[in-house]
Amino acid sequence: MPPSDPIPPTTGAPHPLVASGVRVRLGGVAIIEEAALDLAAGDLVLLTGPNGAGKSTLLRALVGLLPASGEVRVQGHPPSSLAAKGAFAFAPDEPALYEDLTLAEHVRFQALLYGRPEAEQRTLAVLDAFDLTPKLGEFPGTHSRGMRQKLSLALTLGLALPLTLLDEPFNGLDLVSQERLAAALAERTREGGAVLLTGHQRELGGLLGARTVALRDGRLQDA
Amino acid sequence: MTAIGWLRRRTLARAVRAYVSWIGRAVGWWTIGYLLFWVAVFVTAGIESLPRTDVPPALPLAAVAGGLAAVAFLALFVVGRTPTVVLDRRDLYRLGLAPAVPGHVLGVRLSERRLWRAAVGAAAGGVWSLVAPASFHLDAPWAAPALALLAVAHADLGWLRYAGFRRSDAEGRAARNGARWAVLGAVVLAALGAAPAPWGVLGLAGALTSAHPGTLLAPAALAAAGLVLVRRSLASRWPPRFAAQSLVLTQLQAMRTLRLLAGVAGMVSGREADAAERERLLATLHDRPGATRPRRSLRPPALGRRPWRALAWRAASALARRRPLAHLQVAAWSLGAVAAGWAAAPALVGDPLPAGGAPGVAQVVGAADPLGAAVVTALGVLGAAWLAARAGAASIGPDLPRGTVPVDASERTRGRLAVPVVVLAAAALPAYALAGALRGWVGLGAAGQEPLLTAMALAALLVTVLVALEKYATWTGVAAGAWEATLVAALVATLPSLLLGLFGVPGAALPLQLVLLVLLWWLPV
Repeated sequence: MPPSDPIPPTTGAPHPLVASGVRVRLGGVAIIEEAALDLAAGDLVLLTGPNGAGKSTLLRALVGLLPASGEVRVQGHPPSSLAAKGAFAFAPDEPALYEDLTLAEHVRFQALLYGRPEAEQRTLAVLDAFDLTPKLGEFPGTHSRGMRQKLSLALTLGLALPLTLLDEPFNGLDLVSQERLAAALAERTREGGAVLLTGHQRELGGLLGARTVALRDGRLQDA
Repeated sequence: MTAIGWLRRRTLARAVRAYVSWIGRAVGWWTIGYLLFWVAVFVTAGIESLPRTDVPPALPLAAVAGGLAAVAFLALFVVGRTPTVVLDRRDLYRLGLAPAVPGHVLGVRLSERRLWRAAVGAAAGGVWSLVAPASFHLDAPWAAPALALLAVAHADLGWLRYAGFRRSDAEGRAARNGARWAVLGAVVLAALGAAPAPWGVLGLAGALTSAHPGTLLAPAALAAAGLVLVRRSLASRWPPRFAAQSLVLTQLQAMRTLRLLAGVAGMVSGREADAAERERLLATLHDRPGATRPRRSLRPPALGRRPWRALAWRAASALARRRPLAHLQVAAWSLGAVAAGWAAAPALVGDPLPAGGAPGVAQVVGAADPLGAAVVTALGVLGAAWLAARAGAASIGPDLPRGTVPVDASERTRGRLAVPVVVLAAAALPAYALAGALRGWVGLGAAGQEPLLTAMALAALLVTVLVALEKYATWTGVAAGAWEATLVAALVATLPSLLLGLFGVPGAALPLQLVLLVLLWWLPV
């Protein structure tokens, strides 16, 4: 995959993600209690926890898709602001795709929406690494779960934004694609991007060389 | 009892119990009984209030009924590409692949369909039995069972057409030939109805014009033939494309159900992106191009262009990929909207109603009641606005949910409205020709004294409608094409002319319209 422009570490520059005292309540039930997280440029953090621990909920709260109390800043901005939205990319566990666009059209559409022309080549390179180049002219609705997941990941990683959040990114991928994804994540952090991902397997942290944080009973603990 | 039958009985009983419980909780069975009671009262009262004609109408009823029946059965020759009965995913994977006779697996679904058709046929026949004596001086006591039997036969022959559609194996040929001969038999029997007694009694629709119990013979024979033929068609093999088409049809059904449930619950529903997925699924169902790859693509904007260009390109692509019928629909809505807008625009700039000319509705009302004229004028503007909202909804393209994409509201609105604005602008000239006639018919006055001002008023009205539609649909999550969204957009856009017309200062409507447009545009939604 071609290298993206590294984000220069500036003294005093705000961290890609700073969250403190984050609480999420859904239907009157506390899902997340007082979560705090700080990701600097180049950090790779794996959020683990059993099924139903609230990993996806926390990720959605961090990007402003779920109401949460506490303080969340993306590059120093609230996550719902345009400045923050232009600084992070999020891939949910269930790929959120535009069913009316082909894969190639997804790539161009995404590059135009984010105002990042260079993202097109990077995304195409990731899709090529995932062996999806022959499928560029097809609608994703005809593709398998794994292929849709690859497209979602390629669109997210291709943007090369300061903060990348991936919810269960390894689910549904074949072994070769898992290795390629791991390489892409390592490259992203080498370039200065911060990555926060979720997963069930604790050994994944060791394999990726990531800092592992566990979510238990709604609280974050270093694993 | 077969294993399939046992399994079916258990799952059906459980489903029925759950359904009864759910309806009871959601609506209440006493409430349903109460409503049904009043429906029965109103239907009975309605039928009793029908005046008995002194002389029966001079209609060849037997020939008309036979002709209709023949057309209904002949119409089966143009259907058959898709299954009339499907299995859902669970049944396909669990029962469809089991070593069981297909007829046993599909039996319950076919029976369900027959039951529904029979109920509808019986209801229609029952109404005919009650109405016929008063209105046509006829006794038709067997109409309900006869129509129920015909409806069952029609359902079975519909399945048979599918079972034999483009199949060259023995089962396919047998199904195709069976359907062909059964339909031809139905047509012959229908023609027999026009023959004099006693042969007329044997006509297919004889029960509608005769009280003889023998009129049930032909429908019963056709229904029995259908049952036997359907059973034979599913004795050993499934139709080749049944499983694949079942999956697609259940997906389409699931989309409809989800949209319905979401709509009932007042939740986010009917996103326009569904339309693209639906088109793709329909292409898959009918083996048309466009199932995996688009039939046509528009050149995307160059990299580095503003985000609104990307949204406009997506909307244009979605429109270009729709079927010709959808294009005609967009053209009709747009032409209607601009023509109605041209007709109503003079009211927006406060032109007085003409003293002469054809007496339109507003003039007639206005002569006696100025307030009534204002209301009629406002309704004309509202009608034009609603048509514009429909045109906009048909061409606005897929939505962009308010999520994590860094696109601000005005950029999104501009991008999504680019195509509808172009479509409406293209309709301006042809619509102008239509507007003169429409203006006289609706009675909204003569053409404006100030053509430029009138054109401005029209443009302001149409753009306000589109902006209101886009903002409201995005804010609430309802589809732009939903009645709610189009009505709200039309009402919001006509507020200035409606209010100022009622207060007697219609001349100020245009400035207020422009103020409203600016306010809507800058709404951070």
